[in-house]
Amino acid sequence: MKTADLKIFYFLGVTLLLPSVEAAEFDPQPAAEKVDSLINTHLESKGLNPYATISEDQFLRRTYLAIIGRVPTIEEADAFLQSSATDKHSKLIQQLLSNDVAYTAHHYQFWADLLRVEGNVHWAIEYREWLKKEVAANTPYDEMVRNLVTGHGLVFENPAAGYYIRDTGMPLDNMSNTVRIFLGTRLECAQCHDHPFDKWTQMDYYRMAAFTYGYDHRGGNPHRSGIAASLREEERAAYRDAVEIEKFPFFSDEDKVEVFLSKPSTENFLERHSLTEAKFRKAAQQGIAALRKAKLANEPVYGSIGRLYNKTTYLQVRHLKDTDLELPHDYQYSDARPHDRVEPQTMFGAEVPATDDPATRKQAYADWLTSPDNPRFTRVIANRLWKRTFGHGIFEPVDDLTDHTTINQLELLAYLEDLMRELDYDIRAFQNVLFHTDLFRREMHREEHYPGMPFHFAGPLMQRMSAEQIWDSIASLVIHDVDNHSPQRAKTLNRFVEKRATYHSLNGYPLDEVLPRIKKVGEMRRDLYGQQASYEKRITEAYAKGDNKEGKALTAELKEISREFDQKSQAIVLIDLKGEKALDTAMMMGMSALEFEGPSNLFVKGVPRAMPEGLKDDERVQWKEDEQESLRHFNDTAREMARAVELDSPARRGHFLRDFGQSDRDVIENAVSNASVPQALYLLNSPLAVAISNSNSVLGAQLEQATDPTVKIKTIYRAMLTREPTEREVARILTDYETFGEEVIEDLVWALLNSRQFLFIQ
Amino acid sequence: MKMTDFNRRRFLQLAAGSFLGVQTNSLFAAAGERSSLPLREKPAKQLIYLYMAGGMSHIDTFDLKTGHKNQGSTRAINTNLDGLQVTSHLPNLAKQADKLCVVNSLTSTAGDHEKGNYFMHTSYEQRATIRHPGLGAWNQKMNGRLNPTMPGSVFIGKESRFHGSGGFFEPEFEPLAISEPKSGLKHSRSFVHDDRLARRLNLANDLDAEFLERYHTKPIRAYGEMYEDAVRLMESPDLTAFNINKEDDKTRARYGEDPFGQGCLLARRLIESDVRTVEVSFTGWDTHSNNFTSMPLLCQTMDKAVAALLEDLEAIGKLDDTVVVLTTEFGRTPIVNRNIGRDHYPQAFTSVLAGGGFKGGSVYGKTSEGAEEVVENPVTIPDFNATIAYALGIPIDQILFSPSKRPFTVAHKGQPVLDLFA
Repeated sequence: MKTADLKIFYFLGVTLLLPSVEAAEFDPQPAAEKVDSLINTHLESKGLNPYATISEDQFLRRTYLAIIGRVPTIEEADAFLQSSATDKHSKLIQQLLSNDVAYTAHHYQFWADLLRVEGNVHWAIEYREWLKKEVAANTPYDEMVRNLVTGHGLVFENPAAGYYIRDTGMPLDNMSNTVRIFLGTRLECAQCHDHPFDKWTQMDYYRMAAFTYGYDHRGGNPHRSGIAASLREEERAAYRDAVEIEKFPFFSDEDKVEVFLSKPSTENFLERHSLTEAKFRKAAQQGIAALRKAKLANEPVYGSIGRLYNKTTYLQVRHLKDTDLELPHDYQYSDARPHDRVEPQTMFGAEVPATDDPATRKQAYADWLTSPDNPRFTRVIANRLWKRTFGHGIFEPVDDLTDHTTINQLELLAYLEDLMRELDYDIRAFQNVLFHTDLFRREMHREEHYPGMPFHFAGPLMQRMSAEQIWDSIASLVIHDVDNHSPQRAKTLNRFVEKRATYHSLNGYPLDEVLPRIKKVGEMRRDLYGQQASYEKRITEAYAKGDNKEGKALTAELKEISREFDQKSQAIVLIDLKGEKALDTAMMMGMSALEFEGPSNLFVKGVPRAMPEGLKDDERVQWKEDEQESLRHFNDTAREMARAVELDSPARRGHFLRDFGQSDRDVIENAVSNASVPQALYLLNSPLAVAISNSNSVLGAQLEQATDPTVKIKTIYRAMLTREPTEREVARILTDYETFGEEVIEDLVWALLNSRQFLFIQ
Repeated sequence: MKMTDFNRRRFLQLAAGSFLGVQTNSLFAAAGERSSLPLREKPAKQLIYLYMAGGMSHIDTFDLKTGHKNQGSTRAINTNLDGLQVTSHLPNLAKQADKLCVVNSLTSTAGDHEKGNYFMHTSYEQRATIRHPGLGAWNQKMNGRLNPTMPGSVFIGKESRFHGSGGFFEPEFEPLAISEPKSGLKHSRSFVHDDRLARRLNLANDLDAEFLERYHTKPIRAYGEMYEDAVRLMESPDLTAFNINKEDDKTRARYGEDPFGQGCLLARRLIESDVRTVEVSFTGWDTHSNNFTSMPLLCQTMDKAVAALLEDLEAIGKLDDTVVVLTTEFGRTPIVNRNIGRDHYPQAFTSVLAGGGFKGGSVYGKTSEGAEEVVENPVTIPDFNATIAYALGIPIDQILFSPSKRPFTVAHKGQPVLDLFA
């Protein structure tokens, strides 16, 4: 097979964000007015009044958080608040919606939670970065879903294949997840029996699953089986050479020889080749001995194949032939028998013609799913985006639609569905309409709202910021130009490069080039086996003597030997993995040179301030100590800080993001916004307020400019709460300031971090 | 302005309380049907779950086959229990075999780590559509907290994602996770002097008062309750339970200075402070290669820690009320592979129970001559978990519903093995 046959030349613009189409031509206002009129009619019918309009600064904060997922900086706030343009609200919405980087930083999380995008396995990184690109490019929703549901092939070529790799070994669950995410319907109960609370039968479930059943994720290394096959052929050749008789039958062991000889037809064979039984037996024995010897010689080579190729598994989704879906062994209904083959059939809506070709079948499934005529496809996304904007769905739960779901404002929902279709599933254009409504500018619902109670949208439902919104808002107080700060980018690119180079080393060269390298490693592995055996003996003896120290020392030595072996074997086989070579390979495999340039890769590191003049000696010592401590906290905080979208995601356990409820991406939409003790402990006792107040941080630098405490107080309020403090608030803080002086400034930062008005979006 | 200790403490609590002083609501809210099985009369109260992640070899630990070719170089020693031999690398546990109830007949089909780990922790197959709660969450759900100041369950270990979490239960059933036993509970001490903390809390209260007057829905009030809980914990003597540095060097050395040993020490302290469930995870048992040179270290580490733990639990009078489980996702192939290692082997493996009313000094179940298959009294993973649940007084047929209205029980369809109880 030639390199070119592998079809690994393709384009992949990894983190390069393409500018989205200008939404300028589209006027959201008429649609927004229609939405408001439908809402107002509904409120009237319920005898309710819409809530009051919020203040300019509340609108500003709400809009920033809703569209780009963080609070505005003081400069950003001033640009809006000081503008006297009558259309400044609309301008702000459009400006934020067209900020691809910042918009993606926020809305990627929505998709990552829905699709359960895991963090750190190699295929997931490809999938994750592709998804960010789709969000940045504002790919129409139906197209994006089709890309996901038809995800197929090698992840380097088609990262959407991650949609199926994510559910490795669970193709049935993958189907229930698809139906839940995109059709808002819960089928999973029907996997084992007819749905107890809905109309779906187990047969419906299996028929749906039959569309995508029968695929595999482990393959995808074209050379792997070829190499094993050529080793086996070598072994057979050794056998043939040893028997020295042409067209001699193949026997893998002696028993089979005897079985052969006991057959009546054998006599003819012996006669034809003028062989006696004894001679035949001897030749066979020679052959088997040679075969065994060759197999033994190859054994360490097989071991190396596994070790090396396992580095590039789970990189491809491919169809399996002859793996039709069957009903389970305990199928209990009368319409079919256990183990009956299941034909694909849609659960509602249009029927899809049957086909034997798995690719066509998957495409048909995706087309049915995303069709504007599918009764639930548009409804579900319209409602999800509505909920994301206003805190509550028009129907709830958003993903448990049944024929009995009560929809209070059906006319509104129907209008939104029409709008979505009319906008060709342009998500940002749809959101643009929602952000332009009066509803988006109304005060939050203030009463208790219980699940299951109808919600009438006199105002949006108040939400706590998501974990990412809190983290990103704090990051914007610390890191300058936070939206473009991507300290992990180099690491991510490196992983892309490494994986491509590994894959290419193993599969991108002719088989007869790769095989000798692997054989060479096999030879080395044979030596390793010998060393292992001798170490094992010595270690066992050491422990038997009760010499644990010697035992441990030898164990460590052996570990080091194994590690060195792995390094050496990689150097021999993974020839593209070295420095420039890896980069060349990655670029050849579709990564663009542009990706290696761009925004900062550097971690933030603070510098100390100059010491103020006029301090006494003891004051100087104290000042220096304080300054160093503050700087240390700043560095500890800022080093790991960037917007959540730029960090490992989901964050590791114990990270701020996880403590505040970031989804672990185990199940769909698993993020939570409830209070928890670790959150309180973090806010109460971490040095976060010190870091934010440090002169190297965004807010700290602004505080550094001011001398008057009232100005400082105002600066903190504007940065953290996007508003001016009231007179009463200023007076209250100044009371403390008069007694305790400058440290109250940091106390105030701490107090606002620990306040509800910071966490909850008004 | 200096406050006396007493005043300061009261002040902090008042300050935190007025943050949104609302009574903590009931933590115990079980739904579903009542159990029809009789519960154990005097159930154990607490659970220590020691998880040997990676798959602990049965034939090289508690199910030795001396003289059989599968045994390799693992050597047996006698224990203080007639008829039970263990590997020579478990000398301390050998002296306490009278406390152990060894189950040599676990059997399962889940042969990969993720699925095996999940199955062992939850009794359910891993699904992409739901997450099942673990025993710690069930223990808290059905039995409530023993100490309202302390978390309902604690997980000690480095894993970024672990199974047997709160699952689909409410967020308060999620275990508190501690990565480094030596560092204890993160951010549990105030960063500033107490006076200044009190002043800060007071300032925060005053500045937030207007907002809280305007908005007082449940999610917002919950934050007030949480601050109360957090400050109560900071002020509580129980907080020192998280600090293993309070133990003398001799005790720390007895458990072993490694993370698992120190984790077991922390577990003991937390159990003393009436945490319901503590899991300690110990990774590294995946001995695909160099099995016989890896096992001595692994076993010795485990031996030291578990032996010290059992000793101390007995000494403080907690052993009878605390179920101690030592388990893993699967055993390892009795036949040694070409890398002188052993691979995954769910067909037959071993777990150990102790305390909590289990029959100490007993061996249950039996594998074949080469430890290949269970030939006597097989125990499935759901059975094993039902046994633990029964020991803790958790009704095993109590159905609880997930938010999507799917019914679940603590050990799926498992039945307790009553022979294991004294």
